[in-house]
Amino acid sequence: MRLLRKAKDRFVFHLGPRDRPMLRAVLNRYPVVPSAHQPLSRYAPSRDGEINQSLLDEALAEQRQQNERQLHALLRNSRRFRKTGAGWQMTLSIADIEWLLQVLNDVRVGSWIILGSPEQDLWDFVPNDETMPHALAMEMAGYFQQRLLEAITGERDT
Amino acid sequence: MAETATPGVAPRIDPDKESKSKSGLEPGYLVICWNDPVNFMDYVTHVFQMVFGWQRKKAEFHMLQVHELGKSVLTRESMEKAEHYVHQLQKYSLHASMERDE
Repeated sequence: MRLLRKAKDRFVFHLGPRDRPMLRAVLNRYPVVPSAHQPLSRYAPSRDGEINQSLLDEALAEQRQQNERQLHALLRNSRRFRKTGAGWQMTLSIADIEWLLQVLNDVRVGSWIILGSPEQDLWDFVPNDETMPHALAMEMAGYFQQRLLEAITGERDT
Repeated sequence: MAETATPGVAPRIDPDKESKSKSGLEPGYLVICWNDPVNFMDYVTHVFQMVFGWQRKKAEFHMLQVHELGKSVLTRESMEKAEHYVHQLQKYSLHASMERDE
Protein backbone atom coordinates (compact mmCIF):
# COMPACT_ATOMS: atom_id res chain seq x y z
CA MET A 1 0.00 0.00 0.00
CA ARG A 2 1.30 3.43 -0.87
CA LEU A 3 0.01 6.97 -1.11
CA LEU A 4 -0.67 8.00 -4.71
CA ARG A 5 -1.83 11.56 -4.14
CA LYS A 6 -3.56 13.85 -1.71
CA ALA A 7 -5.80 16.73 -2.61
CA LYS A 8 -7.62 18.83 -0.02
CA ASP A 9 -9.17 16.31 2.35
CA ARG A 10 -8.78 13.29 0.09
CA PHE A 11 -5.97 10.76 0.31
CA VAL A 12 -5.78 8.23 -2.51
CA PHE A 13 -3.84 5.05 -1.81
CA HIS A 14 -2.81 2.29 -4.16
CA LEU A 15 -3.49 -1.18 -2.81
CA GLY A 16 -1.65 -4.04 -4.47
CA PRO A 17 -3.52 -7.28 -5.30
CA ARG A 18 -2.62 -8.74 -1.89
CA ASP A 19 -3.13 -5.51 0.09
CA ARG A 20 -6.91 -5.35 -0.12
CA PRO A 21 -7.67 -8.88 1.11
CA MET A 22 -5.05 -8.44 3.83
CA LEU A 23 -6.55 -5.12 4.93
CA ARG A 24 -10.02 -6.67 4.99
CA ALA A 25 -8.75 -9.65 6.97
CA VAL A 26 -7.13 -7.38 9.54
CA LEU A 27 -10.12 -5.04 9.85
CA ASN A 28 -12.60 -7.94 10.07
CA ARG A 29 -10.90 -8.99 13.31
CA TYR A 30 -11.98 -5.77 15.04
CA PRO A 31 -12.59 -5.47 18.00
CA VAL A 32 -9.78 -7.47 19.57
CA VAL A 33 -8.87 -5.63 22.79
CA PRO A 34 -11.05 -7.21 25.53
CA SER A 35 -13.86 -4.95 26.71
CA ALA A 36 -13.27 -3.37 30.13
CA HIS A 37 -9.57 -4.00 29.67
CA GLN A 38 -8.48 -0.48 30.52
CA PRO A 39 -8.66 0.66 34.15
CA LEU A 40 -9.38 4.34 34.69
CA SER A 41 -7.00 4.30 37.65
CA ARG A 42 -4.22 1.86 38.45
CA TYR A 43 -4.39 2.49 42.18
CA ALA A 44 -6.98 2.39 44.97
CA PRO A 45 -10.33 2.43 43.19
CA SER A 46 -12.89 4.42 45.20
CA ARG A 47 -16.72 4.26 45.00
CA ASP A 48 -16.66 7.30 42.72
CA GLY A 49 -13.90 5.61 40.79
CA GLU A 50 -16.03 2.50 40.25
CA ILE A 51 -18.90 4.58 38.90
CA ASN A 52 -16.55 6.50 36.63
CA GLN A 53 -14.96 3.24 35.49
CA SER A 54 -18.32 1.86 34.47
CA LEU A 55 -19.12 5.10 32.61
CA LEU A 56 -15.79 4.86 30.79
CA ASP A 57 -16.42 1.21 29.88
CA GLU A 58 -19.85 2.15 28.51
CA ALA A 59 -18.40 5.01 26.46
CA LEU A 60 -15.69 2.76 25.02
CA ALA A 61 -18.23 0.02 24.22
CA GLU A 62 -20.41 2.57 22.43
CA GLN A 63 -17.38 3.81 20.51
CA ARG A 64 -16.60 0.25 19.46
CA GLN A 65 -20.09 -0.35 18.14
CA GLN A 66 -19.89 2.86 16.16
CA ASN A 67 -16.48 1.88 14.78
CA GLU A 68 -17.83 -1.52 13.74
CA ARG A 69 -20.73 0.08 11.85
CA GLN A 70 -18.41 2.58 10.19
CA LEU A 71 -15.99 -0.18 9.29
CA HIS A 72 -18.63 -2.31 7.59
CA ALA A 73 -19.83 0.74 5.67
CA LEU A 74 -16.29 1.50 4.53
CA LEU A 75 -15.54 -2.02 3.36
CA ARG A 76 -18.77 -2.14 1.33
CA ASN A 77 -18.42 1.33 -0.16
CA SER A 78 -17.57 0.97 -3.85
CA ARG A 79 -16.66 4.64 -4.13
CA ARG A 80 -13.89 4.17 -1.55
CA PHE A 81 -12.43 1.11 -3.31
CA ARG A 82 -11.98 1.30 -7.08
CA LYS A 83 -10.45 -1.50 -9.12
CA THR A 84 -7.48 -0.32 -11.18
CA GLY A 85 -5.60 -2.87 -13.25
CA ALA A 86 -4.14 -5.45 -10.92
CA GLY A 87 -4.80 -3.46 -7.76
CA TRP A 88 -7.18 -1.08 -6.10
CA GLN A 89 -7.45 2.59 -5.26
CA MET A 90 -8.68 3.43 -1.79
CA THR A 91 -9.86 6.98 -1.09
CA LEU A 92 -9.95 8.20 2.50
CA SER A 93 -10.56 11.51 4.23
CA ILE A 94 -8.33 12.64 7.09
CA ALA A 95 -11.15 11.75 9.52
CA ASP A 96 -11.38 8.25 8.00
CA ILE A 97 -7.64 7.82 8.49
CA GLU A 98 -7.87 8.96 12.10
CA TRP A 99 -10.43 6.34 13.09
CA LEU A 100 -8.81 3.68 10.93
CA LEU A 101 -5.66 4.25 12.98
CA GLN A 102 -7.71 3.63 16.13
CA VAL A 103 -9.24 0.47 14.70
CA LEU A 104 -5.90 -0.86 13.46
CA ASN A 105 -4.26 -0.20 16.81
CA ASP A 106 -7.06 -2.07 18.56
CA VAL A 107 -6.24 -5.08 16.38
CA ARG A 108 -2.51 -4.64 16.97
CA VAL A 109 -2.71 -4.17 20.76
CA GLY A 110 -5.46 -6.78 21.15
CA SER A 111 -3.43 -9.38 19.24
CA TRP A 112 -0.41 -8.54 21.37
CA ILE A 113 -2.51 -9.09 24.52
CA ILE A 114 -3.66 -12.48 23.19
CA LEU A 115 0.00 -13.35 22.61
CA GLY A 116 0.60 -12.77 26.33
CA SER A 117 1.81 -9.15 26.10
CA PRO A 118 5.43 -10.10 25.39
CA GLU A 119 7.71 -7.46 26.87
CA GLN A 120 10.79 -8.35 24.87
CA ASP A 121 11.61 -6.97 21.45
CA LEU A 122 8.71 -8.08 19.29
CA TRP A 123 11.13 -9.05 16.52
CA ASP A 124 12.46 -11.74 18.86
CA PHE A 125 9.02 -13.16 19.57
CA VAL A 126 8.61 -16.54 17.87
CA PRO A 127 4.97 -17.59 17.45
CA ASN A 128 3.85 -21.21 17.33
CA ASP A 129 1.09 -22.70 15.15
CA GLU A 130 -1.58 -21.60 17.59
CA THR A 131 -0.40 -18.03 18.04
CA MET A 132 0.68 -17.42 14.43
CA PRO A 133 -2.67 -15.88 13.27
CA HIS A 134 -2.50 -13.32 16.09
CA ALA A 135 1.16 -12.54 15.40
CA LEU A 136 0.36 -12.02 11.71
CA ALA A 137 -2.64 -9.82 12.53
CA MET A 138 -0.46 -7.72 14.83
CA GLU A 139 2.21 -7.28 12.15
CA MET A 140 -0.25 -6.56 9.35
CA ALA A 141 -2.15 -4.00 11.44
CA GLY A 142 1.21 -2.34 12.15
CA TYR A 143 2.08 -2.31 8.46
CA PHE A 144 -1.13 -0.48 7.50
CA GLN A 145 -0.79 1.88 10.47
CA GLN A 146 2.68 2.90 9.32
CA ARG A 147 1.51 3.60 5.76
CA LEU A 148 -1.35 5.78 7.05
CA LEU A 149 0.91 7.64 9.49
CA GLU A 150 3.44 8.35 6.72
CA ALA A 151 0.66 9.78 4.58
CA ILE A 152 -0.67 12.22 7.18
CA THR A 153 2.50 13.18 9.05
CA GLY A 154 3.69 15.69 6.45
CA GLU A 155 0.17 17.07 6.15
CA ARG A 156 -0.22 17.65 9.88
CA ASP A 157 3.19 19.21 10.57
CA THR A 158 3.20 21.74 7.72
CA MET B 1 7.46 30.51 17.27
CA ALA B 2 8.53 33.78 18.90
CA GLU B 3 8.81 33.83 22.65
CA THR B 4 6.28 35.83 24.63
CA ALA B 5 7.67 39.19 25.73
CA THR B 6 8.01 39.72 29.49
CA PRO B 7 6.05 42.75 30.69
CA GLY B 8 8.24 45.53 32.08
CA VAL B 9 5.97 46.19 35.06
CA ALA B 10 5.08 43.39 37.41
CA PRO B 11 1.31 42.99 37.85
CA ARG B 12 -0.13 43.97 41.26
CA ILE B 13 -1.16 41.00 43.31
CA ASP B 14 -3.95 41.44 45.80
CA PRO B 15 -2.79 39.61 48.95
CA ASP B 16 -6.30 38.23 49.45
CA LYS B 17 -6.20 36.68 46.01
CA GLU B 18 -2.78 35.12 46.22
CA SER B 19 -2.53 31.49 45.32
CA LYS B 20 -3.63 29.11 48.00
CA SER B 21 -1.39 26.34 49.12
CA LYS B 22 -1.60 23.18 47.00
CA SER B 23 -3.81 21.49 49.58
CA GLY B 24 -6.33 24.34 49.33
CA LEU B 25 -6.77 23.99 45.60
CA GLU B 26 -9.32 21.78 43.90
CA PRO B 27 -7.94 18.24 43.88
CA GLY B 28 -6.10 17.63 40.67
CA TYR B 29 -5.75 14.45 38.66
CA LEU B 30 -2.69 13.40 36.74
CA VAL B 31 -3.22 11.91 33.32
CA ILE B 32 -0.55 9.24 32.86
CA CYS B 33 0.41 7.27 29.79
CA TRP B 34 2.11 3.92 30.41
CA ASN B 35 4.45 2.07 28.12
CA ASP B 36 3.15 -0.76 25.97
CA PRO B 37 6.04 -1.97 23.81
CA VAL B 38 3.63 -2.87 21.02
CA ASN B 39 2.82 0.75 20.18
CA PHE B 40 4.92 2.47 17.52
CA MET B 41 6.75 5.59 18.64
CA ASP B 42 5.35 7.57 15.68
CA TYR B 43 1.87 6.43 16.56
CA VAL B 44 2.14 7.53 20.20
CA THR B 45 3.53 10.91 19.10
CA HIS B 46 0.64 11.30 16.67
CA VAL B 47 -1.96 10.47 19.32
CA PHE B 48 -0.52 13.01 21.77
CA GLN B 49 -0.65 15.66 19.06
CA MET B 50 -4.26 14.84 18.23
CA VAL B 51 -5.56 14.51 21.79
CA PHE B 52 -3.75 17.47 23.36
CA GLY B 53 -3.13 19.64 20.29
CA TRP B 54 0.59 19.69 21.06
CA GLN B 55 3.40 20.58 18.68
CA ARG B 56 5.38 17.58 17.46
CA LYS B 57 8.39 18.43 19.67
CA LYS B 58 6.38 18.35 22.90
CA ALA B 59 4.55 15.20 21.84
CA GLU B 60 7.88 13.50 21.08
CA PHE B 61 9.28 14.52 24.47
CA HIS B 62 6.43 12.77 26.29
CA MET B 63 6.53 9.79 23.92
CA LEU B 64 10.22 9.31 24.74
CA GLN B 65 9.47 9.54 28.48
CA VAL B 66 6.90 6.77 28.06
CA HIS B 67 9.34 4.71 26.03
CA GLU B 68 12.39 5.17 28.28
CA LEU B 69 10.89 5.61 31.76
CA GLY B 70 7.81 3.43 31.39
CA LYS B 71 5.35 6.27 31.87
CA SER B 72 4.83 9.98 31.42
CA VAL B 73 2.60 12.42 33.28
CA LEU B 74 0.90 14.22 30.43
CA THR B 75 -1.15 16.82 32.26
CA ARG B 76 -2.82 17.74 35.57
CA GLU B 77 -6.50 18.50 35.30
CA SER B 78 -9.85 18.53 37.11
CA MET B 79 -11.51 15.12 37.41
CA GLU B 80 -13.84 15.71 34.45
CA LYS B 81 -11.09 16.86 32.11
CA ALA B 82 -8.76 14.08 33.20
CA GLU B 83 -11.51 11.51 32.48
CA HIS B 84 -12.03 13.06 29.08
CA TYR B 85 -8.34 12.80 28.20
CA VAL B 86 -8.05 9.22 29.48
CA HIS B 87 -11.07 8.27 27.37
CA GLN B 88 -9.53 9.89 24.29
CA LEU B 89 -6.20 8.11 24.81
CA GLN B 90 -7.92 4.77 25.40
CA LYS B 91 -9.90 5.19 22.17
CA TYR B 92 -6.53 4.96 20.47
CA SER B 93 -5.74 1.85 22.58
CA LEU B 94 -2.99 3.61 24.49
CA HIS B 95 -2.51 2.50 28.09
CA ALA B 96 -3.62 5.59 30.04
CA SER B 97 -4.94 6.21 33.53
CA MET B 98 -5.72 9.08 35.88
CA GLU B 99 -4.36 9.28 39.40
CA ARG B 100 -5.20 11.74 42.15
CA ASP B 101 -2.37 14.24 42.63
CA GLU B 102 -1.84 14.07 46.39
